[in-house]
Amino acid sequence: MKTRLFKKADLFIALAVLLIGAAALIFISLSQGGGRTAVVEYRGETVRVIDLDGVKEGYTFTVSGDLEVVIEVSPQGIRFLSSPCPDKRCVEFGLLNKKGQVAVCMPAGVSVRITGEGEYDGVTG
Amino acid sequence: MKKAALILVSLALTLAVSCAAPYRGTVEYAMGAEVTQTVWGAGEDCLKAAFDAIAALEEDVSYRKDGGVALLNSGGTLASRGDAYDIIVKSAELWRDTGGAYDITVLPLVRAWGFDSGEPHIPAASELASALAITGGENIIFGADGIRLANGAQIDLSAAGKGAACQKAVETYKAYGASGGIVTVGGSVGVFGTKNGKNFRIAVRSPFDPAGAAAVLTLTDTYISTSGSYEKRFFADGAEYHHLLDPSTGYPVHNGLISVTVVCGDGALSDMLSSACFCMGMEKSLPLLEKYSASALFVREDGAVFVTKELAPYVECESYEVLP
Amino acid sequence: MKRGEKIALAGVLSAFAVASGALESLIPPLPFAPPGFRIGISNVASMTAAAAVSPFAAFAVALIKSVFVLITRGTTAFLLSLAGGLVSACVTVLLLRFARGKVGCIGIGVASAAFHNLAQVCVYSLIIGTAAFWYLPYLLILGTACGALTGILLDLALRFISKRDYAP
Repeated sequence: MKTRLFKKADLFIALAVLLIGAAALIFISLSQGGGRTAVVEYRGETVRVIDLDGVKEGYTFTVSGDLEVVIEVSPQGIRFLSSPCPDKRCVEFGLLNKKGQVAVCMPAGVSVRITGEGEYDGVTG
Repeated sequence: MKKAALILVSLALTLAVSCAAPYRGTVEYAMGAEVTQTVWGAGEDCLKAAFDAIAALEEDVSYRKDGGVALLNSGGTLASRGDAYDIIVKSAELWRDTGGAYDITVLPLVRAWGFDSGEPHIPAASELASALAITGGENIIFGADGIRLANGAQIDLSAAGKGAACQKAVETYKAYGASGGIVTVGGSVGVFGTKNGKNFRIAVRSPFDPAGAAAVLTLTDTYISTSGSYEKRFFADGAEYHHLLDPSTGYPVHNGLISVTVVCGDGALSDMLSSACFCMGMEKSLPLLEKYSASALFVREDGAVFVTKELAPYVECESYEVLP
Repeated sequence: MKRGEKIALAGVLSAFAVASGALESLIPPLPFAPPGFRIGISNVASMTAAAAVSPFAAFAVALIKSVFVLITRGTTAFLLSLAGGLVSACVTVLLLRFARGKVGCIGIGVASAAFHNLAQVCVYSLIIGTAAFWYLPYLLILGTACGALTGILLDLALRFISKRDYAP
């Protein structure tokens, strides 16, 4: 039987390989490093970076975005404590404590995400 | 079906390009320090070109080599162009701005203390006095045909070279179309672009634990340099001496600081400012940093960390104070 | 195809594998690819051998290419080339044996490239440790594009051979 250039099965083979590749990429990027770091951003600009594994006592701080939101950091994780926004979706996200989790307050333009980076790229000094 | 194949190929290519694999270079040596490089979206040729650029810079700015600085130190006149010339011009300006606290004519002092030989010792009073006599930025004479040194002065650009080297590397990464890159030359770091969309995390070495970090900075498109008294030091007669010398006294600076990290958009300046700020102390450093659009992280001998307000959002640290 | 023709074709393909392998090691690496990554044009030769000659010929082509690598680039490169070549030839042969007519050249190229990369990363991990697997996702994704390219070349090669009335 003649082998043609392209058959439908080829699509599945290629997609399977791509998916495995993408999954491995995501797995590796999530499993890299030991520490959990929370990054607080306002409109894409970093406002604050917190090493969650180093938090011993809880505290709160205010981010003055388009609205003033209060964020709580504790040894358990990080969360939006309160926000004057109408829908309170950000508060409903609840506690973030795993790599890759994200909570956003769209009206305030403030986001909190947890990255899996504990290591550094370079050292000065 | 042909169309589907075409879409598939382009999809795969886009995916491949968008998550460029990092290309890590081997550790090499230049400027008397380790050079490490990693680029995203470029390959070995880019890293090689960047290292060549650093080596070419070293040739011109190291007093141990045979370039511009060696020419000046042997009494020659350096024409008004080139890497060494550019750094000397910046240095002269910083010398004025710091009231002499940053001085590239400290080479005789460095030699008197033996910090260049690896066998540091307390110099004899007469030795120190004769070294001090020929130290001073006023001995750098800018003439119509270039620069020359008066009064037997000797210059040392090692407080600028590593930062300048980082900039040479980053300029090469840009020229090769890389999407991101990080270079470290000794304690200086240059960061450019992103690593697949993420900024670079740079640890500020802990003065109290060589393997630990006093803080972590998350940055891109800038240069970071640190001057720390913990780097080269020795003990003699029950006291500790380090290599960051005060050009006015000839003795190691003692003002309560143990390390200063400066973040600046110019590589050589980040390096120079870290030395200058260490010598001047925290308070006097603030207006200087502002003038050069730079920011800094100070570590005091008691371990307390202070950060300028521009840098504060990018700092990860157990506890620190933000400077006004 | 007569027996003599088959042997002649296998010889031509082996020569092509050796030559294209050598040529590919000369061209600069793709700017965004991890170190050591190649398109794998020489894979076309063993795939063509599997499709137009015999499974045995496919393995022979891979082996001959690896021996050439042993002579020119040393043991490590040889082991990488051999593992990649044999495993990808194996995948090609299996696909042709059990799914001929159901898969196209592009599918064969992509699958063969994926297993080529997988085998090489496994061998590489014996040398540098598990960090080698870090490269696997990049290799798989990039390899899909390059595998599709080799698939197209395989199709061209098979057309060329069948026009000459050598169709198996």
